[in-house]
Amino acid sequence: MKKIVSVLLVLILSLALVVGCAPSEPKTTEPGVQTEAPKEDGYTIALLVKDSTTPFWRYVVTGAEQVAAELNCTVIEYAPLQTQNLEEQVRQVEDAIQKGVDAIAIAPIDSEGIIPAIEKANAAGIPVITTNSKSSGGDLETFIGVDNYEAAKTLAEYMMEDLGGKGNVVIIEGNPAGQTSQDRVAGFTEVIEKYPDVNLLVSQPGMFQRAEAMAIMENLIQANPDIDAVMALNDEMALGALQALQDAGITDVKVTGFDGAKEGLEAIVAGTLFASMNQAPFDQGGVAVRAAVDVLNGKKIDDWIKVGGEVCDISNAAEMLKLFE
Amino acid sequence: MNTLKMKEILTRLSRVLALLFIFIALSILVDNFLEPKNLLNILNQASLNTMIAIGLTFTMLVSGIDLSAGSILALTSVLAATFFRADSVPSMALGIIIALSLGAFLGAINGTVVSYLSLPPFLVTFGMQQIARGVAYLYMSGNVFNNFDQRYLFIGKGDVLGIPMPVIIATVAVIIASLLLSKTTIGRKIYSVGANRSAAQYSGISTHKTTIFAFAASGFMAALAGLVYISRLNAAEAIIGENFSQQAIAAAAIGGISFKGGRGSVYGTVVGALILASILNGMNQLGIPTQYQNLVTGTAIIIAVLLDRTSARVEL
Repeated sequence: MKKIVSVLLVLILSLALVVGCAPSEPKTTEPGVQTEAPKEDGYTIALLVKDSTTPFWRYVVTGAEQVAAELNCTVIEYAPLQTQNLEEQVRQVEDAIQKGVDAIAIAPIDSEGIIPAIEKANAAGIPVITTNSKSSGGDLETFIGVDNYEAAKTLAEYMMEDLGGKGNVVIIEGNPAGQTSQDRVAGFTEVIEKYPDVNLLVSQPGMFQRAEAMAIMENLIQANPDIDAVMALNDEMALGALQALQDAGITDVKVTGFDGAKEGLEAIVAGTLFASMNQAPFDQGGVAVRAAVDVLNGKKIDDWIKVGGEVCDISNAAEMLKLFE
Repeated sequence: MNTLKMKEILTRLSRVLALLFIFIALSILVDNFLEPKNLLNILNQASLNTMIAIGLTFTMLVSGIDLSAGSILALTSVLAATFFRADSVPSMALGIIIALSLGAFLGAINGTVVSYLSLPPFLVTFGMQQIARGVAYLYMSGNVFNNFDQRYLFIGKGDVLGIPMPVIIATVAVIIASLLLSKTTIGRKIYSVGANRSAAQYSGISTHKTTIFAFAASGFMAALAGLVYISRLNAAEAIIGENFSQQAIAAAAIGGISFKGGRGSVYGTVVGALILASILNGMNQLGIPTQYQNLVTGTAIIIAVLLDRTSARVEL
């Protein structure tokens, strides 16, 4: 009796998980019939993002859904419940393979850690596209996004120029285990090291979270009264750091983000955020879907489709903001 | 004076001495540690954890625990935030009332399930943690609410005579909670239920009502902390407060609240929260990387629990 009850419970729970993971699952899909059925209704593309809580990834998903609607395809979104959780993302790739999607577009949380999952998709014959962050291995159709390392260098140069080549800089890192964070930090520090009069005071991980960045900044202000610039690895953290600075009555510290999404652009227009890096979130989703469809239709595509990559500042923020209306 | 009272005093004294020792050590190591500005900063940083840990203390006194505080905080604050974007006082008041009552209600659900169905509080509140967080995620669907009405920002950022509002709110909460526990009938009932549930039942105490009250108090305090937190952050997100329950448990453990129930006080919890905040502040000032901070917090908890075990064995 106990056994039956526990088996039933496990079944119900796993069902709840499946439903929870794929809210946009089309209702017509019959469970169990996942073999190569004729695709009259266009393709089904799995889009794996890095979290379900920050606006940036919502824009990526929105961009993907818009293009999918245009091309008569279906996008199934997978986002880890716990933000930036590699283990969950790996399971979601397996779920997507199991579901029998036509293509997988993924923003790898960890460039190394994702390889086995991508190899599984390769083995199942499902084309894989990376967006936002690269994977270090597996068979990949293309990469869509900015080169985090190059873009970070561009943004850092912009910052150094404004500082006049001297000052005290703080970096707020993302998830130190992830490739995105490592690449951006590497880009920043390489530029900073070229300027002997620029001091990198501290580089601390804020996990891409606004609240964490705010707490870090509060403490840094206590210990270092003479910060000139803060370079946060995404807009959310930049806004958190700005909040802490504003609360302390400090207005002369220049803060940069990285994303170029709505909230960050608004802050640039308002004059609080100094600059950000345009990552073109809509395109990271939309172009990924377009590329997936091209691959499935047998078209050749480039190894790297660049989107975004330019500095957002007061000169172009208002214009870029129009995209988000 | 009986031995139990003596032990209680010994526990409390050891915590105050520990806090004193940390303060002396840090004031030697860190240049501006004792500056009023930094001391206020420590109090400010401890205030959120204090509020949540007070609620947790109530549940621990009835031999429960509350793992759902951080999630209840997230859910109630994102709901309240919906009302803070309209620039009107009635709307803000409504948001605050909704958040606090929902917090108390979710806590009461915890208490009801724990008490009437006799389920382990650890698992019940663990379940509630997931449910409340899930609803918060669904409600926000990846959005962030920010730029609240300036007047609302006062409770998280404002100050009265130089004392930050979160500190004032936490202090008031500490006073009310400790009066409630030491001077009222419900307070005495809470201690009796935690010390010996069946004895309390035989003496005519409604253990159900008492348990539900304690868990509701925890939900209420989580919601209160959430209201202060989003004001401080000037943003509401579904993800906030993920590790708040753990921090509150750390404060209670360091403060000498018994995990078996019936023993401990709000003041112990406050001292626990202050010890935690001072250690973290000192480490930040000394430039010790964040990665080491968990290590120190963990060690502090184990030392505190060990201290209790040893002092409980001392024959008086």
